[in-house]
Amino acid sequence: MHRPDRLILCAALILLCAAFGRDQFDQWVDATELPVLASETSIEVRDRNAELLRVYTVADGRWRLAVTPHRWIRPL
Amino acid sequence: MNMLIAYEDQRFYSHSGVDLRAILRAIGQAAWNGQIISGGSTLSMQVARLLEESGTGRWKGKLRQMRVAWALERQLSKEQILQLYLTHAPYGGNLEGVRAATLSWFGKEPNRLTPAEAALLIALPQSPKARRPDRNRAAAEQARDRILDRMVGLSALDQSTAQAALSEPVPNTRRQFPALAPHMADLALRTRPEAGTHQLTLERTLQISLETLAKSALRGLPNDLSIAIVVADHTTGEILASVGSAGYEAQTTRQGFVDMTRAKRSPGSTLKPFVYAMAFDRGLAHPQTLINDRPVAFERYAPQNFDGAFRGELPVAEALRQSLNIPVVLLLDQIGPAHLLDVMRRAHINPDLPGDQAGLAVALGGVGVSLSELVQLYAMLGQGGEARVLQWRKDGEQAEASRVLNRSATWHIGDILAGLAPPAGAPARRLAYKTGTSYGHRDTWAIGYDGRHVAGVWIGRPDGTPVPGAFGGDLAAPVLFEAFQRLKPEADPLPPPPPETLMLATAQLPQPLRRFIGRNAVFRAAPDAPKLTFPPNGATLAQLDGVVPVKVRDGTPPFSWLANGQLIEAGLYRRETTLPDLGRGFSQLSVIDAEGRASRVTVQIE
Repeated sequence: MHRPDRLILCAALILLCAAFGRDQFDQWVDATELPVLASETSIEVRDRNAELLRVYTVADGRWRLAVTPHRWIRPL
Repeated sequence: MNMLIAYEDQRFYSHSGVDLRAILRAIGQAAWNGQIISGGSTLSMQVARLLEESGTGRWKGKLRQMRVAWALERQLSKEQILQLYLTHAPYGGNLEGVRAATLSWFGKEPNRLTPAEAALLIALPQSPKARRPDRNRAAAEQARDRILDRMVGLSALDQSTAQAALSEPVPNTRRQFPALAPHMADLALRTRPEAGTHQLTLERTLQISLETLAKSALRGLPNDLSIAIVVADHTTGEILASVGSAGYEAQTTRQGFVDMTRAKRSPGSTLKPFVYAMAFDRGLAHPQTLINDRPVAFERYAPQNFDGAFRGELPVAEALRQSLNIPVVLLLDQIGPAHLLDVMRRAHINPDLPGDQAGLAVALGGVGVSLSELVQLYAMLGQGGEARVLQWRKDGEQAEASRVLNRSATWHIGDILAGLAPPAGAPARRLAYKTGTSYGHRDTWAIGYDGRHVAGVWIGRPDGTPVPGAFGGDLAAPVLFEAFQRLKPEADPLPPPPPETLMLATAQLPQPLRRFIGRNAVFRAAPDAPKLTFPPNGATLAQLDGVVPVKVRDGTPPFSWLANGQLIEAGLYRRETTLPDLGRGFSQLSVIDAEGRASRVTVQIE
């Protein structure tokens, strides 16, 4: 990343906010086409105590395992 | 893991997707130092980038990321965004998300990570290619240490913890993802392809232990043999371990990818206990009933014992313990082979018949049954005659138990089988067990149970061809006992006899139960049985002075002679005599020796 990028980005941001205002901004954000959020995760086979026995890769050969953050993360 | 938020995006829980302060700081630092010191990206923006798989660089890309980040924040909770990040963050190679990372780099789930592990997990996604611990360990360690230092700076870690973390080695290899119970896992996917997670009834530690046992059991044996082991808790009906082969890898000659717990094979002698249990259940025999082990012929079927020898009369219990073929066929002949198949079906298994009619050979293994099915059958014995489908899915419906055989019949079987000599070195009466070897040494089996668990072992070739050389029941039984040893240090005792059980010696039994004589069996004469040699059977004799000379060979004197059912002479030690006054026409002549063995002929007198 280079200096000019950051500056242009910053300028664009300020311009945007100033020119279109909050409403325009909201509309713009709401009109965003979101990428697909529910992506395929690895199929998991677990034992009687929910311990992992086997996982499978997703279609493109990647390992992508479903995560439930509250199990591991204490809030700061 | 909260180190992640502290490091990457301190105001994660308060910003609206784009952290303007962080961006300004990043720009400020970049302008001041001429290089990037910290990124301005929030976690939300990184999620946007990961989901769209766009690059970090171009400002247009950045703007798009900010737009998506804002939009994400409006639609999702902070926790959902964090979840997306933790699912998609790249950790090198084909690893995506924090769980793939911890399993692969640390061999565990992301609970209870050490600070050093957590720091490495924060460092990796920033530059997953350059920092892969297995390819570039030094870079990975450097990045991790920088993050640990930052953590101290942010007072998220105290100095001493950080010092300890710095000395922790960075892993240098990727671990294999767990692939336990691969056959059953495949089966789970096949039967329920839509499910994302499958919870089985297996117990991970036991499964690992028995997969190791399966491998070591085949050491030193021909390298095209396979093995299968199944362990279940018959009190709950749940399968606790299921090993389908010695190894799932395709490169071996053992065809390890074939699940031998589900392959239908000839069960050898392992069905015999069920014939005896049915005989007890139906009151045809008691364990102390005497049964004859001698040459016998049914229509076109003449079973032999494994050693070709005959043991004469012996108690039924002993016949089962010695796994003799003739007594069990005599019993099944009386019971009817179709009823044995009915018992198997009522125990919810699906035996594979070679033809459409069940023959007597079913008792000796002339039917296809899988190891899982046999274990389910023996579970019924363990449960005192109540059968139920063994479960392997934790969320499966608990199957109702149904009675197939009565309690005392199955108790007797357990008692007899527990009296079997265990393999060398194993304690006596620990298990009620039975071994089996199928015709032509294709399969060898050992199935056993105690008061709580049931287990079975199969060894053979996956393609069902005979195994040359020394191969038999002594191979599987030690593996069975070892499996139980690995399951628990002490056996659960078999239950006490139910109150209705008859515990009697042969002489105390009611008369009809003292001796079992098969209904349709035609015993072939023993070699030393008496033979009426003259007159020959079917001969036409001219009447000679009103008497017929007769001769007997073999047999034990004294002899008794009968004509047309009438006793003519008794207590004769001579082997020749004459029978008087036989009328014209057909007459039946018989001789009976001291042991009650008879020989008869029919003659016509003119």
